[in-house]
Amino acid sequence: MVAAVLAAALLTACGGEPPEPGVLVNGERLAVVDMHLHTGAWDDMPPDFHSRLRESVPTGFKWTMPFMSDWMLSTSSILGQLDDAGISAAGMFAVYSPHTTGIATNELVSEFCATSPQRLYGFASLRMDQWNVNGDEWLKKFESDLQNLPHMIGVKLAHAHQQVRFDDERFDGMYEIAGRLGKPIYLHTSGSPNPGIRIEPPYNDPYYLEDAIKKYPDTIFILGHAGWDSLNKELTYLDAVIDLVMRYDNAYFEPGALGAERADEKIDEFVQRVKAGGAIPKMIYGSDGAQFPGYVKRHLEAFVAAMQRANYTTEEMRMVLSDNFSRVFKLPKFEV
Amino acid sequence: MRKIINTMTLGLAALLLAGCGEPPPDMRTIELTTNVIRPPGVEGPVEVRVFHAWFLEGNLRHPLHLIEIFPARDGDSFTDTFEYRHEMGDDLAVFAWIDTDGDGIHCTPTVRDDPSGLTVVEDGDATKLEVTVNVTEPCRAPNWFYPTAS
Repeated sequence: MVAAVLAAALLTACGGEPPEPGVLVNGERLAVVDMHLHTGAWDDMPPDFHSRLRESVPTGFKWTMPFMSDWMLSTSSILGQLDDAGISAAGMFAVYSPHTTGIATNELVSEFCATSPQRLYGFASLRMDQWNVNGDEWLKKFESDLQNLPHMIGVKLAHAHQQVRFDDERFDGMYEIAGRLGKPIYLHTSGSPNPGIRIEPPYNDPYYLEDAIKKYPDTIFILGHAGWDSLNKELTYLDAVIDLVMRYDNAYFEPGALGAERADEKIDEFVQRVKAGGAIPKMIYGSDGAQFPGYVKRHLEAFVAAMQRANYTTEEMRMVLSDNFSRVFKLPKFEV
Repeated sequence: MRKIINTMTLGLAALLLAGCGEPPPDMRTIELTTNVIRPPGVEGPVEVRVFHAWFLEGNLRHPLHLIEIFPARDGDSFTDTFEYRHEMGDDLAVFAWIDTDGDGIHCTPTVRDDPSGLTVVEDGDATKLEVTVNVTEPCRAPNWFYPTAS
């Protein structure tokens, strides 16, 4: 792992011209937007998450992880990964998850996106762990950040990380604000191996969110990870996701982490079930990177290959890889 | 001589490198007795969860960090023993819910009957604690009860 990281770092720093943008499909290059990337800092992650990250390096090299993590989450590294994968633009997520992966503030994400505003789009979030005490204050800040921080085009929520049930109506104000301001919401669904995350259905099963989807028809709900449970390697809530996005105009989904190695045995089934369910016009591509050097490219290549094996047409792949993103976020179409 | 120096250098480096992780936490074992007060007529097994009431410091400080889940059991009084990283947090919160339909899920989108409740207790230097949890509110997560608006 360390050798791979160091090699990738050297290649990123010393490599030649980045490859041609886009992915080649049936003789045509298609633009790609990865709507789901993370930034942050080692010092803003809790100790249990540090331990999980350190598990990926051998004893004797664990001390390198803070430096490696901060480098991997830096602007230059993220942009390098996008270039290497031929990706035109990306969504950068703020997170307020002190129970699990830590905090990357709205301000940090806005500043991050400012380094390459034509390619990086921000998703704001808010703290939810002391809602009875300071929920009103956080709602005000959330609304202000969405309106005033540059580059914020959407919202990132992660109920399972933030220990909040999907059916808790105390949080309806978030959905109302996002709808009123025209900022689509990305919501994490289903389980993951991160320590401290809630894995029970009320925090992960999108059917618990159906009342909110119905109640706020002007709010766009993007069901993140499409119900893929990367902890148990199962497509646990995929049927629920497809059902909801097909019944509600304001519901979409994202396949983050389904192009990762952990999902190699499920990705073909996933893209086939999406196609059979008629849900391709509701799928917006994202990866949940940049988890390690090369992850973003690996995810994209695996996902495109799976779509090709499932006989997605060029137009269907264009929708998934960039056009659905442009349509939902009211942005011009991406070209290569 | 050179071989000895090389060996010592390698050994020292290995010690330094191995020592650069986070130190192991100081664990405490505690025996907790949870007494549950049910709403009239509500039956079913009870699941108990124990949390740090508060965990970590600074910007990452947060309430209700899960320590242990004790799967649903019949009865109204339960004694459990568990280990936790007491120096990393303050006080304990004990959450309980009643699985009225026995499905193992704390309410579904359409069946909204399973009541829950939470009690916070100071842990101090205790090795034994007893708490009473009044289980009243259907389908509520721990953070619905705590922290409370002052």
